[in-house]
Amino acid sequence: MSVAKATNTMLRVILLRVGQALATAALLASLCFAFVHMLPGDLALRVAAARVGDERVTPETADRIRREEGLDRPLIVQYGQWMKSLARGDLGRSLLSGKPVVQELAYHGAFTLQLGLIGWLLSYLIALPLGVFAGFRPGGIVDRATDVLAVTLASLPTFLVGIGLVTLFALTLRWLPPAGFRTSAHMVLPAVTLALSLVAFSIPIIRNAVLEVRAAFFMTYARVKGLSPPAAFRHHGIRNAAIPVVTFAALQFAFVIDGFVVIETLFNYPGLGELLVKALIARDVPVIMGAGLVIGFSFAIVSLTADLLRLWLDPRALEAVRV
Amino acid sequence: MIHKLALTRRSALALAVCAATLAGFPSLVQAQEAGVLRVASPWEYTSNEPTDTGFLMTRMQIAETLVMVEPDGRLVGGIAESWSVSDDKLTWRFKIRPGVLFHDGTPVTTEAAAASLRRSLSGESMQQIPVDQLTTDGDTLVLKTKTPFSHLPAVLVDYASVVLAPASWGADGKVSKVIGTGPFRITAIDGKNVIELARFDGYWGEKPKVARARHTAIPNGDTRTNVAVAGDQDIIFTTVPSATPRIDAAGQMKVVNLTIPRLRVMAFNSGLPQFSDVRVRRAISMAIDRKGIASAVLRHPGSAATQLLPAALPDWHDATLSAYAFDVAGANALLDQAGWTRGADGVRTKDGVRLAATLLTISNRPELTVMGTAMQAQLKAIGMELNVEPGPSAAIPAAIQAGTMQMTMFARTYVNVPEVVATIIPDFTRERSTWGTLNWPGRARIKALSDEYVQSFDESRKASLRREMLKIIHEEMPVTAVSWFEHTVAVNKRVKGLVIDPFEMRYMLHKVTLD
Repeated sequence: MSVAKATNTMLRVILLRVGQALATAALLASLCFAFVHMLPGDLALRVAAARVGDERVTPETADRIRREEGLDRPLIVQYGQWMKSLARGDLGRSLLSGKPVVQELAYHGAFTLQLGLIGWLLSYLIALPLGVFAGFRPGGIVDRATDVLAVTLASLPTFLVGIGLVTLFALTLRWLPPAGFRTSAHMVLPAVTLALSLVAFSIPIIRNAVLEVRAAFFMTYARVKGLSPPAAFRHHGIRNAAIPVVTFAALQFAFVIDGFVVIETLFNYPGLGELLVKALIARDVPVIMGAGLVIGFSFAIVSLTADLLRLWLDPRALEAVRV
Repeated sequence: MIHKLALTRRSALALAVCAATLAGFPSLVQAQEAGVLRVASPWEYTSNEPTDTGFLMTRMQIAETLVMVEPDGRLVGGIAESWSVSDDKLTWRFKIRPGVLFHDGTPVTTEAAAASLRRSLSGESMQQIPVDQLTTDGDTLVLKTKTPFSHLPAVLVDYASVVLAPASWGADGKVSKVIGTGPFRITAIDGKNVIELARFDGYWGEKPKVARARHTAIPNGDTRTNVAVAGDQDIIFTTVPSATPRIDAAGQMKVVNLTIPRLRVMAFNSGLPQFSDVRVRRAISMAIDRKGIASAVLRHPGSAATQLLPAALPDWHDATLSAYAFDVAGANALLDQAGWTRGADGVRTKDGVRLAATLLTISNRPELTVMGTAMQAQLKAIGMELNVEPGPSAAIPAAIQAGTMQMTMFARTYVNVPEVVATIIPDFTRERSTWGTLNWPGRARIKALSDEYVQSFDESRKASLRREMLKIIHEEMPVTAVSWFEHTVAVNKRVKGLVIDPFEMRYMLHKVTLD
């Protein structure tokens, strides 16, 4: 395949996938709209309770909010209005705070992205050396130890890992603050909690990828050709082992970008997950739909990036792409 | 060629990783500032609207109302220096305190106060005032009511009526920026979690001792406990009661308790055949071991209610009323007398109706569900079947409005404004209350008494009306208190001079000094 043809194919793949991502995101947001309205209970009353507080809410407050926010209009009209605004790039305003949804999502999204990125990178700083080492010495002590570690971490609920870390490092040793988001010290415990929950699944993937590549015929050939095992792995192993790992890592990153409610709640961290849960409790429809749209789109973009990275690492796969 | 390209890719990957790591860090490296009074509570700053978050504006002493309440219950002048009422009791004159400045440096004029009050009068909580007209007269704000309304000054303590500068409102009629008059002014707001404050040097009253303060919202109770154990804040309001021993043992902060006029109450649908007889309601109340619940569930034996309101509200606490009894044998005798007989399954019935109900509670007040479960076991002893159904808080007013509520237990403050009658009226005088009675025939009597109370300016007559209302509620039990609230505040060792306001109107931070 010529370079020009390959670039052309890539561009078409990207355009098609971005289009698909947009459509999926809009569909997801529409489903959010439908589901929120299908929930039992008076939506305006829930919004009112979230706004003025449980004890101050009265049927009159609910009626005022219903009127002011146009929640008394037929659902199809409300949905149509939302779609029309969306076409102009306007996601509307939060029923709770009155702020533009875009502003809410950007604020909380930035926090989630920051912690997510740190936690995700940290997880690979831990998982890569351990996984590679375990893959080099299958059945060895490191392999068995990381296996136990991965199984333990995978079976422990995240909040338990978080509480354990808080108890040890914040409450007993007093090295780190137990909650908050203002300084880098505040980021350590939530990032480690997140990293540990990701490591549980990435270590076995890395280990198996390394193991598989090392057993591959081309590695034997490289060794026969006279390369030392580390040199053979450097030249021919890393890139091949990276293919499944990159795909998995991207998927894990996609999972963290929509927030991690348990960690955010435990550490009082104003991320996207917390925003979404509160929006669901308050039935803040514009925020729920906006979050659905943005999360759906980001998920698709991350997955597209993963595919592109895979094509870049393994250009042979480009031959198989049919657009 | 391929080899070269691979190297480029590898270094590009490494570069990307480094860049991403750096991108994550820059804003994070900040030193922890000293000399800032760090206050935490569960409450988030969700919007600038006084009807929504005015309670945070008054608690953090950012904005003030015309009238304010002292922790001992006395009404004192806020932005209004003094007030008086005309002989026909229809015209109130509030004299605006001279020299009060908004945080933007502009003076509080009578017009500005009137404009701010006009906006708040349209809010639901202020609609109880029978406003005729609001005008100004020199340095005086004149409020005429259609009928005499004796507790007007108390209603003006409501946080929804905070006075904000004219520049606070945007073109859309919403508050775009909070410009109040309190001893602290907002310097920055970070999302819903953090409000940064500085002492307002132009404040008219007692100036704060600390130059800066910060409010952090920590909605999760366990997280508040962790922060208290670590001593990572100076004052934490509303800590989880069961965590008090842990917080105290850690030695960083000490928990202070104060009984406040907030209750955990149980309400009946008095229109249902199982609850229409007052003897049944009394029997249920007698079967509940309030002291046991207070010690085992709430970890504070003193919080067991003996009547509707605690002694912290001397006007509305009648020491002559007999305390709620815990008497299972007496309760069984009452039910026998009322004609409820035990069936084969141990549950009583009368005319084919089972003595059974669903008790709605609020899931975000976890202790209520535990209390409900304890009551479920206690009521079994008198042949009653209780299902406990925790749900969102809005489900309770919704069930009362729909008429489907059977029994419910919730938390309720009786001092949204420092005059209990303002809560008695919506809760006890309507067929379908907001948070309280449903189909209670006694509402007509409370309505007559509260109508007279509202219109009366004779303190001794009001005292006897209060006693009458309390007696009816105590004896007829359309609603019965299970426990009173303990306001729990964790205080850091370095904090001196904290005063706790049982009305939860102000956190009294101006009195605090830091070691």
